[in-house]
Amino acid sequence: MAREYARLRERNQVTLPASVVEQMGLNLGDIVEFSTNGKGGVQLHPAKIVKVGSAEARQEEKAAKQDIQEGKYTLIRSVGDFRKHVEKLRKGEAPSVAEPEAEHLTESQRHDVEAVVETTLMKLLSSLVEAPGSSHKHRHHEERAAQRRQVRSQAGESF
Amino acid sequence: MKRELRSAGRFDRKLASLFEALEGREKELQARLDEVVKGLLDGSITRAPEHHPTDDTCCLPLVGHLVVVFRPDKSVADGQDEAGRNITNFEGARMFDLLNIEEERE
Repeated sequence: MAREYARLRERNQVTLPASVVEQMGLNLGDIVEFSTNGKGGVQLHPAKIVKVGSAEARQEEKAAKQDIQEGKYTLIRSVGDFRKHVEKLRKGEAPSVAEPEAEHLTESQRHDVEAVVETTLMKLLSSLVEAPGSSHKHRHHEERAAQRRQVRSQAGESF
Repeated sequence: MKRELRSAGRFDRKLASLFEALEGREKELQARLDEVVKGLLDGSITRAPEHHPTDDTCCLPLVGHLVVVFRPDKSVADGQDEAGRNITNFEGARMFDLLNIEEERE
């Protein structure tokens, strides 16, 4: 891997080596993207707008679909959400992250889930409230019945 | 009908770089993006030119020669426009994936 060096100047300016510019296919006015790798390093990519129907465009669309499959997206539910999202992007603050699966439900699906959870909780609560008394009574009845059966059988035996 | 958008990570990066590239036209870009997002979410935009027939993508004009490429989760072919382009109808879609920004100029 070829290495080139450049010195940081005033206002954080660095001149890209000519070989890098050539290899990246950059032209005057092009935008480049810097992305940190979390290990103190930075990667530099050309941020070009590709032509409709080109191989590059197909590749980028495929990569974007892959991002979505991997959960690397931001969910937008309103224009307000989108404006905030763009504002963060422009400040470099909004890495796209996967949202929890529950966030992918539509409103009606969420209502359905809430209704099922509510019904289940109500059933559980009512069974918990009734269970101690009813099971105690049930046990008590069973014990009394067993006692009566025992008395009858003893009485039968004695007759 | 509730509709939602998923903005892909790569779309986000493209968008951020586009704001850099269109310095001085940020308001115009933001206004057009707002229109597109609002139209897709509230269902006022239900038809768009087909972008790629095999993967159900569509595109809408952004600014200049740029188009935003997206994929609705449900769509049907809906004839052609005056320019002879195939039109896709996504009236029944509930989710739209924002995929890319591309230049339409030849």
